[in-house]
Amino acid sequence: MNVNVAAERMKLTVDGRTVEVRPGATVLDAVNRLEIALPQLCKDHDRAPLGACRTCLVHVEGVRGVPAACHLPARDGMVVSTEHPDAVRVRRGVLDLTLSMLTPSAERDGFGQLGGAAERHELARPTWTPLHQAPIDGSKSFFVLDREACILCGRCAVACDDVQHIGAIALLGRGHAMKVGVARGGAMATSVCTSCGQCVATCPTGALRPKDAAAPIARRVETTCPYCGVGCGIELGVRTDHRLAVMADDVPVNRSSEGMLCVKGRFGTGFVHARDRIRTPRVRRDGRWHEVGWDEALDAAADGLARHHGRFGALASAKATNEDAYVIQKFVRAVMGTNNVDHCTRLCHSPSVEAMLVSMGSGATSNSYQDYEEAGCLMVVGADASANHPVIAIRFRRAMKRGAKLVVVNPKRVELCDQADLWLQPRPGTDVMLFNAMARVIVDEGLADADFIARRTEGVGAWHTSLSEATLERAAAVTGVSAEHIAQAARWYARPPVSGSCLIWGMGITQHTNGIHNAHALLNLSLVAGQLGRAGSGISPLRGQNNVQGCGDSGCIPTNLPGYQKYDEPTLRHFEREWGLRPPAMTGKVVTEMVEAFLSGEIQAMYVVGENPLLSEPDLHHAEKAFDQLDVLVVQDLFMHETAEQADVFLPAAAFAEKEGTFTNSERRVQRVRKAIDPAGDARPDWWITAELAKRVARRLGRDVSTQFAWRSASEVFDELARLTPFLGGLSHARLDREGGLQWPCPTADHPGTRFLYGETFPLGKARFIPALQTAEAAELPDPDFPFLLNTGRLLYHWHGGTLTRRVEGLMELAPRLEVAIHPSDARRLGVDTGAPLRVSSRRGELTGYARVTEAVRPGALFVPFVKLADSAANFLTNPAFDPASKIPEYKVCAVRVERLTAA
Amino acid sequence: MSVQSIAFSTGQLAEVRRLQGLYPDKRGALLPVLHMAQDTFGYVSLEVEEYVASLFGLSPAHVHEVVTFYTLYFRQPRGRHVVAVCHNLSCHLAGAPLILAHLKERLGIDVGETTDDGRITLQAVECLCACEAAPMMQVDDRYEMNLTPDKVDRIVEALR
Ligand code: SF4
Ligand code: SF4
Ligand code: FES
Repeated sequence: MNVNVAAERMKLTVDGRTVEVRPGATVLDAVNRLEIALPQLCKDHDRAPLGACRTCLVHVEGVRGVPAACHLPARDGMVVSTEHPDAVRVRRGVLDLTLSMLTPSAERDGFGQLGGAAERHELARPTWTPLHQAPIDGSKSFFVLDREACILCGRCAVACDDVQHIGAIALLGRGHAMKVGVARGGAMATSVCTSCGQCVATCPTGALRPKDAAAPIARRVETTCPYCGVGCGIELGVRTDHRLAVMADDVPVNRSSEGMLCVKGRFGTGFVHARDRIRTPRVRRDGRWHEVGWDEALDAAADGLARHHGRFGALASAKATNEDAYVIQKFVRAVMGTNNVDHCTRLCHSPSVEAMLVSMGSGATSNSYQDYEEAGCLMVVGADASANHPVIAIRFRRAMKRGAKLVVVNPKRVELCDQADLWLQPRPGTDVMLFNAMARVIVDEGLADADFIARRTEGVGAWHTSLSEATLERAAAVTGVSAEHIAQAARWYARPPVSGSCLIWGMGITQHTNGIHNAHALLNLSLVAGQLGRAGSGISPLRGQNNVQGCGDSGCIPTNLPGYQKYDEPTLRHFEREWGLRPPAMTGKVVTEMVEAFLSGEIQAMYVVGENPLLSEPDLHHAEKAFDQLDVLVVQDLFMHETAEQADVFLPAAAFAEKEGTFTNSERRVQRVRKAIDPAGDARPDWWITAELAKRVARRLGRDVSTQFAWRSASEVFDELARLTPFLGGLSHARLDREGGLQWPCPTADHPGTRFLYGETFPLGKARFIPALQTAEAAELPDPDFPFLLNTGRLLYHWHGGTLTRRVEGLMELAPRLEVAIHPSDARRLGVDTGAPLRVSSRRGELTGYARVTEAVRPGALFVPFVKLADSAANFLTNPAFDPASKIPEYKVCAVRVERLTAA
Repeated sequence: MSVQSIAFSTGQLAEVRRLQGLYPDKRGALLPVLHMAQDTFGYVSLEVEEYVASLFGLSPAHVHEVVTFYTLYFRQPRGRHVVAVCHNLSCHLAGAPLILAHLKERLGIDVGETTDDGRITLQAVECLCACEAAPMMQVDDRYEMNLTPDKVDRIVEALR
């Protein structure tokens, strides 16, 4: 045999055909390149070989025995046979033994890959029968573990451990008693399993299989997950009956998710087929809905909106595509003559964006997910990543396995706290003091990056003076965190053991009346330590919705044109040239101001796309009153939700799986959204609906914009957006299809995209230190009447208000009712146990929920997720007081009282 | 055993760290630390597994996998002596079933149980790599080989 490993490419012969592979490849890779059907039951195509199943046996000339191909390094000149009689005989024997482990039954549909392999080896029935029987573990809502179909290959345990870093399942016991099981040996539902489905996707026999009836899959369509801002790649299975398979596959080549998924992406796409999808346009007449055709609905909407030119506002959707967002803002600006267009970022990250714009000149996450893994220290502030951004949490766990320090700052004991090297638990609302004290430690101990500060920043002097109050002693007294811990966190952040540090924050920082001060305090910290602008460092506000980045990029904000361009003369002129219509120069209203303007009559018509403000606004009773004042409300969505119930016209939109477009994720990666199935009923893509509406409204205003709203496809819309937005200039659907998702800035067609920002310079030139002040802890603090501090947030199994996830049966099963987290000492005083019904009330409203007694919250604090379940929602309680600078409402903190309800 | 009582002393924790430092990946020290835990707490309960998992940053399921794989970790309180009979192929063919049946009868307990006086725990285990001397069993940390019922009687008699 001619051995030549060093060759650039190696040539092998397999079954008489030649094939080239790269050095490092295995014989199995060579076999698979030729698409020869060789069993490989324990080999996950994107994981290292386990060598457990011994079904990939081949014959190699000059090699004794029948080696396992997955473990055999390929060598130049090897002559391999998969059909050699020895190999086939032994392999058939192994398959026979393997098949003998399983009990056939009508419920099992052919044992997946093993069934196929057995068929090809003409093994109708196995020679032996299994030794033991085990009942099916059906305790999880989306899938079963059926040990009678398990061959103990170990793929599931590896997926859970090495891909997800969860470690819920393992191979327990030895010998013939070995089985897949969980810690403490109980049912799967008793384990830490998060239902991510990574194990189900990899199981070769269907021992782990989704619960829905297996319908044949006709096609697979790669697209982007519609849930959170991580933006994982998912592959939808389209069944022969034109419905989506319940389980989506992961996409190993996706650079943002690298084959990882969480439960929502994997199993949460069923809302597309929900029975209550609105399939036909509707118009309200005499207080009742009437189903009508598109022409009639669009005309009715246009009649109403045209009456209120200039007295109009629009709320765009961070769930819809960039193309949808772009068309909406163009309609608002060019046709409706106002900049009153906003989206939900107001309700989550506007302080971050605002602060970053003031301090650096760009509102985006500076680093890539990859940088979390290369960092030496991760400081995660006010974010429950394991629940809200599970795939980011996996990145954190991978970083920690490599030795990175994890510092968690959170008043609530979120799951990450248990994994952290250091958990700081400041009193809610005292964050500025905490970060200022850390900054002082960094300065006082000489850990500041003097060179970075000198070359890249300004305003350090005034800022430094502003820190005089923030001594460790004072900070310890104000925040309740020990001086020692504050100092340790500062030291690790400024000087991590290796590489750089990433600062990651979530809503816990921003949803406060002092949100913008919080954000500035964090940014100052990153500047003084010089922890941005290189690999393994950076600043990341974790974005909640799939396209919250893109919706802002595309211009659905009242303060800027697409690409965050200002309303200055040259820009306005440029847009006028492109659009043929001049956008107004005055800053528009943000969504919370729009709602106030309904009451004053300043806004009389509203266009709400893919949002449900009557669930997401603070103080819902107040918001309901405001919406009542509107003369015209047009809602465009998938479902008849709380806001839509109030509308005059309902326009049914296509869901993410029913249209083409792009989403931009938290790491600025623009990724393709692809049409897998036809829209439900008459539903249409949002961009199409808005364009039609624009043309009709314009006609009523005596203008013709048919050429300005004449796109024939989402790809044409994207081209216009890219033409007007310098940092997207090099992108197009065709390029994204060819190269996969790319990160902006990507100004030209040959630009590779940008992994991290601020390497050389800031958009402002130099970054600015902005002194951050510790103001009042919150606008509303507990008092004798309302003695508890209410905190709101999200859950793994529900997404935001729950409009989508409530329509996925399995998710409802995992989290069916609204739970109120309460500390054991408070629970004892009220005499309640987990599961007891409670009434929580604030000055604004009340809700009913069920106690969950846990030390995850502090004494005197309650936590309620903001999903709406059984007519109860946290936002009936929350305070509309907002941060004066960024206008974000204070969702995170309000004062409530809690009472026990006698069981109904 | 209550959950609170499961904790190593400061000295033992230092030993855990020393052992972890011996391996490129600290989980290499899992087996010796589990033995330490077994010696300290009497047996490896589920709570002990969770405690050890927390010392390694491993998932409890992974530790459970290790503990259930090896036969020298006891998951129930055990007697002062442990008699572990190999019932794998070679020993089986050489008469292990007979030896086991004899032991069960003589001690009045089943496999996995402990005599009422707390003297002996009986186990049946997979191959202990002494096939050349089958049937064999392990008594505490020594091997007893080429067993016959008489020989077994003498061995058991000597255990106090
Ligand atoms: S459940 Fe499936 S993946 Fe897991 S060991 Fe069994 S056969 Fe392999
Ligand atoms: S669903 Fe995910 S978390 Fe649960 S056992 Fe499988 S891989 Fe682990
Ligand atoms: S695929 Fe090679 S041993 Fe399983």
